[in-house]
Amino acid sequence: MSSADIYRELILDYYRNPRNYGKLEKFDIDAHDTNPLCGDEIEMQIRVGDGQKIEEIKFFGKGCAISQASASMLTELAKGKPLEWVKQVSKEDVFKLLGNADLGPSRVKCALLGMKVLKTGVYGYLGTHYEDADSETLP
Amino acid sequence: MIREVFLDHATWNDVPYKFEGGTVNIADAIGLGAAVDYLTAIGMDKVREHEVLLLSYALEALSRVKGFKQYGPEDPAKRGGVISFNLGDVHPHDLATILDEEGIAIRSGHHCAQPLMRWLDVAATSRASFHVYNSYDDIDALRGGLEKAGSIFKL
Repeated sequence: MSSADIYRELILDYYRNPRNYGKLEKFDIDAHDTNPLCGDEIEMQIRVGDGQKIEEIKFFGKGCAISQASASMLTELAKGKPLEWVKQVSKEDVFKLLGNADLGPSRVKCALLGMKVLKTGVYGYLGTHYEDADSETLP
Repeated sequence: MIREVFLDHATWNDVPYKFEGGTVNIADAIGLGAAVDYLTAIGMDKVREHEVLLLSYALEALSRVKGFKQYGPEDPAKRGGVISFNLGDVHPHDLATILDEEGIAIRSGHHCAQPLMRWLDVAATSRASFHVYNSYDDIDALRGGLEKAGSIFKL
C-alpha cells in the first residue's frame, strides 16, 4: 500500500478539520500524553453522563496527520458510548478507522497515541490502570 | 572492571576503574582513519566546493516547489550541506513517510532542538543533507518527491 492510500481524502480532512477538537468547560476525565520521539501530543477531556456514558468528549493537540486524524475519529466513535466500552477498544479498531492502511512500524505509534490517551483517562476514572502493551515496541 | 567473579555473583572495582573495562573502541578509530584518508584524497576544498554547488542548486530548485519554506541563510556560502525545511502544513513525519516510498531518506522531527522549534514556531522540520556522494539527480528526485507530497496533501 502506498502513501496515497494512507493519506486518503478522509484522513486529510480530519487532519485539517478535526472533529471534536478543543476543550470542554466541564469535564470529569482529563488525560494527556506525548510521543517524545516525534513530539506528537494529544489531550482528551470527557464529561461523564448518566449511566457512566461518554456524554461529551473533546481532544486537542499537535502532530502528524495520522496522530491527529486517528484521535479525532476515535472521539467521534466514543461519543455516547458507555465508559466500559473503552476497555474493549483495540488497535485493530483504530486501524480500521484509518482505513486499514499499511502504516509501517514507525507510524503505528502515531496512530495509537489517541487510543492510549483515551484508555489512560477512562481506566483511571474507573479506578484501574491501563497497561500500554505497545509502548515496548518502539523502533 | 571486576574485582572478583563467582559462579552466581561478581564484585566490582572502584570508580572509575569499574567503568573502564573491556576492549577500547578500536573499530571506530580505524573507521575514522579510513574516512579521513578518503576525504583527504578528494581534498577538503573540493568537498566544500561540491557541497556549495549542490546547496545552490537545491535552494533554487526546491524554492520553486509550492509550499516550500527553508530555514537558515539564503547564501550557500554561509551554510553547510544541510537544508531544514517545511512543506505547507504537511507534518514532517508525514512528509518523511511519503519521501521514503520514493527511496529518499530525510530526517524529520525536532532534531533534539525543541527550543529552536519553539522559536521558529513550528512543530517540527524536515531535513535533507548533501555531501560528496550526492548529485544533482538526487536533488531532482527530492524535488519530485516534494511535488508528489504536495499533490497528495492538495497544497
